[in-house]
Amino acid sequence: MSDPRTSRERLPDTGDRNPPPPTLPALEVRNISKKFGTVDANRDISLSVRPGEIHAVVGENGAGKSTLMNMIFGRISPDSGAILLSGNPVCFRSPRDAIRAGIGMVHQNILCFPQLSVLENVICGSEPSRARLVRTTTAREELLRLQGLFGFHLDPDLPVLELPFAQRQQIEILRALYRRAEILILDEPTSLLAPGETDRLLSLLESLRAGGNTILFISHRLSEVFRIADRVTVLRKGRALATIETAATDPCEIARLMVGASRNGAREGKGTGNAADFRQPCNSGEAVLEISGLSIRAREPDPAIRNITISIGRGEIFGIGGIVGNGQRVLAGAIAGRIIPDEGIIRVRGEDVTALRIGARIKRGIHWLPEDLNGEALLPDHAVWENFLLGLQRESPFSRGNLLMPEEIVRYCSERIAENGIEPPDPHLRVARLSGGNRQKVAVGRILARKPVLAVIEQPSRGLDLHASARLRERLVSLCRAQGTAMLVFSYDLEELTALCDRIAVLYRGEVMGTAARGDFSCELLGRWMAGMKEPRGKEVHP
Amino acid sequence: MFDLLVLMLANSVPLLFAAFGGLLSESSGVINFALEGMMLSGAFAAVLGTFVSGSPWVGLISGVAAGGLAGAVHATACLKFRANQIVSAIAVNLLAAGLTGWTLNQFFGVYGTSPEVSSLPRLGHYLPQTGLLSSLHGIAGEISVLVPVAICTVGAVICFLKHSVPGLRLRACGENPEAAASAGLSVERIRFAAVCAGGALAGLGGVYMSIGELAQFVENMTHGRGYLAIAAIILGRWRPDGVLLSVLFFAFAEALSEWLSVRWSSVPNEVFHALPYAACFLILSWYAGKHRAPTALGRIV
Repeated sequence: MSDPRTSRERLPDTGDRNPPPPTLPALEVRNISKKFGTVDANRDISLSVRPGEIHAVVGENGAGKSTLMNMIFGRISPDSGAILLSGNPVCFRSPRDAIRAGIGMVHQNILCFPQLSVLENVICGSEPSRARLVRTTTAREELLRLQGLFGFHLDPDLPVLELPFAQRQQIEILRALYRRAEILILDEPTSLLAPGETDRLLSLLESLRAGGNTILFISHRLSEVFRIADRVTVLRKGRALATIETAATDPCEIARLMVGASRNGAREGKGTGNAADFRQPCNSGEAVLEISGLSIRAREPDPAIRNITISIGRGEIFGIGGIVGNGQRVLAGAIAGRIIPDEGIIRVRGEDVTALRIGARIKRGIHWLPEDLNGEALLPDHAVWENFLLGLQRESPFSRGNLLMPEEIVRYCSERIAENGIEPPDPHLRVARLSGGNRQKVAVGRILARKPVLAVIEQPSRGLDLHASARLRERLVSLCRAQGTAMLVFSYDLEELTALCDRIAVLYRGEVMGTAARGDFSCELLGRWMAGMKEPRGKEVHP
Repeated sequence: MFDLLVLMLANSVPLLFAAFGGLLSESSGVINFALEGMMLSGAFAAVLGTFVSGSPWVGLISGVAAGGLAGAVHATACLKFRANQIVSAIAVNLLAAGLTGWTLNQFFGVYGTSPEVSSLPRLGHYLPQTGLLSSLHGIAGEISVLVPVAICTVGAVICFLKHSVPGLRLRACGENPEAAASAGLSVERIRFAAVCAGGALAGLGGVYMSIGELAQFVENMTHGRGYLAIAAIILGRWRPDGVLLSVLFFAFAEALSEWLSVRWSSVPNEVFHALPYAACFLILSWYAGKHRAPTALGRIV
């Protein structure tokens, strides 16, 4: 569990009790909170950014980084708390107010107008005009001047959809600079950039800092944070744990704070009394899934994966960890048949399935639970029984000729409902009426009932409470051990992976950072891999 | 040949108004399938206004207002209540057809066709009887004053979309509403204005049909011109110049069919009347894969 002591000890360091800094903070966030439904996205976060510094905000996915930034940029409004610019309280009702106050934002999922030209993209919202007509010449000169300043080479008249991703990001940066933003927020700007492009971006940020801009830089790549940031604030589960000078810490400490591991490291399933205890190590020689040299080029919005080689044995549970967007979904899609790889071979029980369609793979016992429940896994507007039937509708005894056999189906469905503990136990209820956790149970239960040879499961306990996810873990383990199902589990949650898996690999920018077997892995090690560090002493990795 | 061209010009006017009105709406990202209903409301309100006031100019204003009102209904349904944009448009079309027919009966006490009212002046009305321009009397003198208005409107809309600040912002909303909001624009307000302005233009197209070409309202008199305008927008790939060309093409097909039906009166009229629609059908099915709509067309944030 999280270690509250760390945060308590750390909090006074944020400047509350220290003598006031010589200048007012350029941006200050005081005790800000935001709830989405019942989820606390931000809880009582305070943060103060000095003028002219690069301030990094780090945290695992779901830690509340983007929520915080969107509140500062006026895209969502806080439930409580205050935002101050140079000591003056401000209240942004929309991004327009934030822009007027001199804040610019580069969004994680680049926001641009695909069919408008580069110039139009940059100036839109603050066009130079005379008599309501755009003064194109003036705008173009200013754009070219800015481009010259930062070494960008974009053709002002090219439609943005013809630009590669890194250059679209330059447009967002130019847009902020064009409006003379003094505070620049970059929300995971490097998540989709190639290493060379990242270097260029980081140098640009350094030169902006030299020019007096204040920069808020969100990332979970610690090597980048330690390269350019002056200070770093760590968020975890919606709380600000600490703000530390980067010079006074090291990536390992930050990684530890991010994933919430205690000082002595391991937080794996041992001592927590669940699935981990009763299992025996899995060591059957027979490989069910063999992936060798798998590479897929980046296709927006998916990142590339490179040269992935994995082998999973009968009855083994293999976990893939990593931060969102490092290629997990592409890898899962390739094994399930949604994406046909550019290079490499996927074999299941010795048979080459690389080019098979999803349907053919299902016939061979390869079942896939996609991450996006409502979009990819379930028919939310249909009844529970229809969702359980899906894929079996042509099989006996569920249909005869072209007619469905309702009694058989409902009996089958009721068994599944009991088996998975779905509440309320009504096969005729629409899935959309179920809670998130119960929907997850439907999706997982459907796959487990088919007795898969290979199960590819993304985010198995998403939306499940503690008890339900522990029960699911037990089921997964016993299914694998009893039936020899090979299971590939993708999760963003290290705790879940360490509690469930026999071996864990971590994906970072589409490559396997390392693989560790039960007993060898700790949250600390995996956390480092997730942040792109291979060596324990915080040495950077250059893929 | 000259009369064929004049015929084409006359036929293109309602389409031009409707298509460029629809273009405004669609460029901002709101699907406008309701052009037909907007035109029809405009046509009826023009006759009503003229009948009540006695002046066709008042009729023109009421027609434009009625089109704008139909636009406001569509925009409110789509933007405020997030209705499906096609469904809302169909509702507007049906509502306009029903409401105009019902009011026609309630107000004038007739079915199908309204009594005659005075129509907007023809171009010949303004031409001098003597001098160089007097030779233009005859067929050109029969052209409605709305013809030059239409030409100016087209130029104005093209310039608006391409070069003006609100035009750029409108297109931005149609490309990516989220990005537009992030650039500090009030997407909903811009879209609302675009749909209403589009409705007013389409209404003007209806005005031309009822008190420009004729001097009365006939139930369902737009008979599909609104849909043809949508086809022209799609065919013109949502680009002003493309839309202009496709409107001219459809108008030419229509003029040709009228011209041919006079020439070859032995062939049943219906064959020629089907010509523009057949041309539309053929070209759209041949062209379908190539066009590119505003990226966020039909998407509400």
